[in-house]
Amino acid sequence: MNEFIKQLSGGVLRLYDAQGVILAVGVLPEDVLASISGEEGDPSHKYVLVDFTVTVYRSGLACYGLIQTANGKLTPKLSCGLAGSGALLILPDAYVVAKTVLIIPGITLIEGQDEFNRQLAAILEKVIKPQVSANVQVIRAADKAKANVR
Amino acid sequence: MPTLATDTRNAAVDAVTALCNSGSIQFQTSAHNKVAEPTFGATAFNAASGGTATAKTVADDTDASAGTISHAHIFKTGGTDEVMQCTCTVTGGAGDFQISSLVIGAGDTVSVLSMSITQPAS
Repeated sequence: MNEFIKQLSGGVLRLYDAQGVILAVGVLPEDVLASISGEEGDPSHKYVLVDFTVTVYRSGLACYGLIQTANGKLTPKLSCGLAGSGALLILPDAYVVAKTVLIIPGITLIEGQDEFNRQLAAILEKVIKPQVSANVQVIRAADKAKANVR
Repeated sequence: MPTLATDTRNAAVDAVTALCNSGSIQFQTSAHNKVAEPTFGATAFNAASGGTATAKTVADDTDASAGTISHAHIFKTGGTDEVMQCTCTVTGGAGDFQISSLVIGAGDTVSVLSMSITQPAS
């Protein structure tokens, strides 16, 4: 997961209203990953991105966000909401006002815990990862000894 | 999402497999202790075709250490720089490496019968 989260570095976040109109735009920092906690494969394994800002160009009710990665891939929709709502993009108010700058608090991604992350993995991870297939046989030492006796 | 052309997939795979030349596959326990380490030859893989490269003969580890295999690391020659980490399951599972037994005894032989690396188109 760490690999594809790094792909978000330098990406562009756009906030949209329910009709798909762009309300705000911001660029994610090059070092987007703030911290990792927990062991890989553990339910507590989570990634926290750094805080970043977006500039609001048009007033409206923010509904969702999309991040376009530096290499052009588009993430699934990131939900917008107030603190405590469980949304990925935390806004001070759902209604954003033109000509203001909003601070988006660090997004927390918990590996395999929600649909967003599964979709994100599918989009960002699929192309970059090769697939390995191998068959391995174990021959017991005892069996080798028998073969030598014969 | 982009779709990779076959030549692109071959180039991607060949770049990865070149890193395996004279390298090794180190099977490790969950505590990262080495159990067995079969080794690649000087040219580890055949040239990729259709986005897939198959391994040339991998030398057996004929004197494994006792332990239960959790995962595998593929190392470049020298055994310190990692190429990739792979999952391991018993044969029939969904692991990258499917092994007849994950429980290895001291002195067992661990033999990689076949191996391939594929770069999907999308």
